Formats: sequence, C-alpha cells, structure tokens
Amino acid sequence: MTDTRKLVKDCLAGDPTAQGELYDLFSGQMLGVCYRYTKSQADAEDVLQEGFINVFRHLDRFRFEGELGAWIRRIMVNTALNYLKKHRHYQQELAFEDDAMHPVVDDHPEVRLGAKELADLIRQLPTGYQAILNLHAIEGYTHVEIGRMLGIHEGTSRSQYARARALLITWIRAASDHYRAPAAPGPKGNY
Amino acid sequence: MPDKDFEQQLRDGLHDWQMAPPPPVRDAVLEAVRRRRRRRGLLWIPLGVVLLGAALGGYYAFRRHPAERPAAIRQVGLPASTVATPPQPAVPAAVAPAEVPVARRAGSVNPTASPAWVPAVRGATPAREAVTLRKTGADRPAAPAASEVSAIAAPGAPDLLPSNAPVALTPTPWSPAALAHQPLETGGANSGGDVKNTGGAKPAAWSFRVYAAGGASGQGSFLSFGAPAQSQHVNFMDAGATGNNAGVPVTGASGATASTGMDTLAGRRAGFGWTVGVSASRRLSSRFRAEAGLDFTQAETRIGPVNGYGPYLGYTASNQSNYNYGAPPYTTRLTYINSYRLLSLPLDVSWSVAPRTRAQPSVYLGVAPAWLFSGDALMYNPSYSGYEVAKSLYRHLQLSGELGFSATILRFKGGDVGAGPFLEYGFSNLQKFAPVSDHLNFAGVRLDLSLVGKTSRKAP
Repeated sequence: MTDTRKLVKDCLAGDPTAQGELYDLFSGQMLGVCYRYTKSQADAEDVLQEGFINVFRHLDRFRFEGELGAWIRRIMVNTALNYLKKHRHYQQELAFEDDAMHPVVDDHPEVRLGAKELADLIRQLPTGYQAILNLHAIEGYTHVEIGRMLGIHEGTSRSQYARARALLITWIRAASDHYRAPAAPGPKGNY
Repeated sequence: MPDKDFEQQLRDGLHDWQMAPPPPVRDAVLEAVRRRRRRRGLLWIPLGVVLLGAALGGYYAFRRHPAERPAAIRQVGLPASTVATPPQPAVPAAVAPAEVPVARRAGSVNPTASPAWVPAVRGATPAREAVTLRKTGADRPAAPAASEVSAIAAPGAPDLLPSNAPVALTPTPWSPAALAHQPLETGGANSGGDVKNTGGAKPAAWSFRVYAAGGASGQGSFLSFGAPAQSQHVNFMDAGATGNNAGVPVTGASGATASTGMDTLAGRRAGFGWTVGVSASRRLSSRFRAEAGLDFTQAETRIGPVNGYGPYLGYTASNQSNYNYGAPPYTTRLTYINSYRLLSLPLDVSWSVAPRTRAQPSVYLGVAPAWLFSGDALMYNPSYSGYEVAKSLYRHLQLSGELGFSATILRFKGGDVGAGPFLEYGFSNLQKFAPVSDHLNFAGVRLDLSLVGKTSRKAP
C-alpha cells in the first residue's frame, strides 16, 4: 500500500519520481471524472492536465485530514467546471435559465450498462444538465452547493437535474433494451 | 425493481471508473511541474534586481561629489622628480608682478617638488583663510600653468619632505592639503583682488522625512476601488468552521470575524487605508532627489453586503442527507472587512517642478517592495473552491508602484511640512491563486514632515 504521507512529502520536495508515481496512482480515475464533464476526449485530457498541474501546485495545502484521492477529485471537478466556463463552446449551454420546478419522477430503473456506455450517455446530455447530473448524482454535492459553484439558484439546479435525470433514464432504458446507445444525441448537445 | 436507487447505481458504476490517460499528458504535467519549480526560483530575480538597483542608486546618490573629495594625488614610491609639476609659464622679468587666478578645484602637487612655487605659496597663504599666489609675469586672465596647486596651510611650516622624496599625501578633508582644494573663487584680475578660497555653501544634500497618509483602499484591477461582484462563484469559509464536504474535510481558520457561511455574489467596496513611515532623501541635482524609506500600511477593503446562510455552516450542512434547504435561507446580511498589513520599502525619485517657488511643488514616482505579513482578509482557496482566512493563501511578497504630488504648506526653522495626493497600485496579485486576481489600490493624501539636513559644510 502506498504511503500517502511519504508520497506527498516527496512530491513537495520536488522528487520527479514521486510526482510521476502520484500521477500514475490517480490519473486513470481522474480521467474518468474529466471524461464525464466534457464532450470530447481531447477536452477531457486538457482538463486532466490542467487539473494535475493544479494538484501539484496546491499540494502543500493538503492537510492529510481526508483521502488524497478525494482531495484530488475535488480539484479535478473544480478544474472541469472552470474549463466549461472558460471555453466558448461550453459557455452557451451553461447559461442556465430559472425554470419552474420540474416534477420529480420517482423512477429508479435498473442500470445494466457498463461504465463507459453510461459515461457516454451522460456526455450526450446538454452541458448544463451534464454538469449538474455529475455533481449531484455522482459526486454527491447538494443543490445549494451546486448553485454556488455554478452561480445559479438552488431551484434552478433542482429543476435542471430533474430534467437531466429524466432524459438519462429514457436513454438508459432505450440503450438497455437495444444494447446500444441512442442514435440521436441530447436535445442540444452535439459535439 | 432494483435494489438500489438510480443515483446510487450511477455512483457505483462511475465513481471509481478509470480510463488510461495517454503518455503525452503525463509528460506535459511533469514538465509543467518541473518548469514551475524552476520559475519559483526565478521569482527572486526581480527582488535581486530591485536590491541591485537600490544599491547602485544609493551608490550614485550618496557617493561623494568629486569636488568634495580630497584632491591630493596619492603617489607612493615615486621619486619627487617624477611627480608632475605644473608647467610654468615663461615670465618676462620686466613685467610687473601680477595676480594669477587659479582654476577652481585645482589638482595637487607636492609643493616641495616645485621649488619655484613654494615661496610664493607659503609666503602668501594665511592658514584656512585664503590662498594668494603672486608671481611675476604678465597680467593675464588666468594662468593655465596653475591648473594644479597645493599649499601648505600653516605659514612657516617645516618642509615635511625632502625635495627628492617620494610623495605620499593622503589628506583627510580637513587636512591642510585638502583644505587647499576647497573650491576657489577668484576676484578676478580687474578687481585686483586675491584668489580666494571661499568654499561657498550648497543647498542641503540630505533631508529626513516622517510621513503619514490616509485614504481609500480597494482591491481589484487598476484603480478599481469598487469592483462589481466576482464572476467566480465560490463560498466563503466560515470562521473556525470544521466541516466535511464530499469526503474532503474543510477547516476554516480561526480568528476571522465572518460568522456565517456567505456567498460572494457581492461587490467589492473601498475601505480605509493608512500609512506611517520614515524616509531619507538625497539631492541628486537641483531638481531631483532620491528617497528611500520604510513604512507600515494597513489597508482595508470591504466585501458585501453578502448573504449569510443562517446559523448553520454551509459545508457542514451540505453533507447532511435529506436536508431540505427550501428557499435560500438568507438570514443575515453583512459586510466583511478585509484587512491587509504591509511593511514597505518605498524607493522614489522626486522631481521638483518649481524649485525657486515658496511651495516647492514636486512630483514623486517610485516602487515599493513590500511584505504582506498579516491580515484577516478572505483569500481564495482553490482546493475548496471557497474563501478562507489563511495566511498561506497570501502572496506575501508584493510590489507596488506609487505616484504622488507634494507641496510645502508650512515652513519652520530646520524643516517644512508638505502635503499632497498620492496613488499606489499593487502590481502583485494579493492572492496566490487564479482565477481570483485582486490588486491593492490605495489613494489619498500624504502629509510630510521634513527635517532638512544641515547645508554642506562651510569651507575654511
């Protein structure tokens, strides 16, 4: 088992081997995170690169009070959100509109898809839906937190999530029935 | 019906899902980290440049003017015959004795090595009063041959050196040899006067200043004292809060005055800033002065009014499952005051706009490297995407530029009081981490109490 404390200490001392080791330890999982927030593999790799640079830059702030992986993951998520805000082709779809509360469907279908297929379906959601679904359903952020992170009202986050969820469930059902991803992309997303 | 709800299935399926990143990303990351480490070392270069500049500036500002240096030539180990002696003009014997004006700031020569000059010099030189050189020769406006003159002050002083001894004169400024080289003034041939060493008084070279300034301080871009709301929507950390957010423990620093979780959807407003300091300045020329000082600055900026999130802590509450937030529970609105405390080393050059006027207005411009050593400002922490009161988030080394105007408003014996507006802008980002980029702006009025040094010494 890797000694996280020693690894971090060595990284802070500028040991390139330790830095490489830390990257190797978490890069696979973090690319999975970045992949879910972006629309293309290239963008996901950009976010991964930027995120890891941030990780090494701020590593001295890691206080060993939690898991290193969770800390890195949070930086990746923030980096991904900043990336979406910064790049024009994502910005338009991040313009959230205050929406009337969408009725929440208490629908819990069984998901029989693999992780890659599931991630690909999520990526086909419009960017705003995609971000909120990732943040709430997978990362576990509350709508209040999502509202603050994205600069939107909590209610907007809730309604957008409800729409995203409904859309994703429809696609998952279709994909599960036909063992393939839906032919048509999401209502807006086309990257 | 599945065993788990939809969200749980998504989380299980995707939370730890991995993909293999391509090797070039790894190389790029490690290269960027290596470059950044190297760059961190290079950050000291500007400081080195500033210190070098200050040292050079100090050297040129404070070095002795050639006119104030001892003028005797140090020549050790040379026979007297090799020591330069002033070429002596051919003096027709029939011409009446004339006064020979001596060029100012003449050089030196051992009088004993120039026997023809010694009697005249010695015979006519009262100690520390005046130098009178009488020679026989034509009445001429100035004798180029007298470009280098030295005199022994005390009349009747014994010959210290034999005529063939090596010359080794290293006079102090008050030594007889040096005194002879104080600026010489001639009364001119027409006045019939002697060549006099009057050593005229100069304006004060040094001035010492105590100053205090007060005004508005703000943070943002250039001249921004009231920036609008931040586009980066992040949370304020609560003072002393300890929470857990998505598995990441979060601890706010203690000692802050923020009492609730807040948002940053609020503008930045100007606060009050003040400075006290001391400085010394040196005259570079009739219009320019160089000034170096040390001061303490406290600058405040305000964020708000911001919405407080009630009695619970945002981060702590966020992990409570099934918590029904409902409508935004803004229960408080308050303005948070950021404080920054800096120690600065201002290095200025001032230009006197009208030195002959009574107000003596001047403009000064300079840089001020500073150490942001303390404060209770909220700083952006990218790790938590929030604001936190933590010294480690400050960019401690700051560099500011300053521009100001000053005019004398009151004079008294030995000094004066001046006042004028100033503007200070921090080139450095107050916060270490992007994307929040805040620079300190400080503008107001400065009041100076200047104590002028004594005018340069009177020559004997």
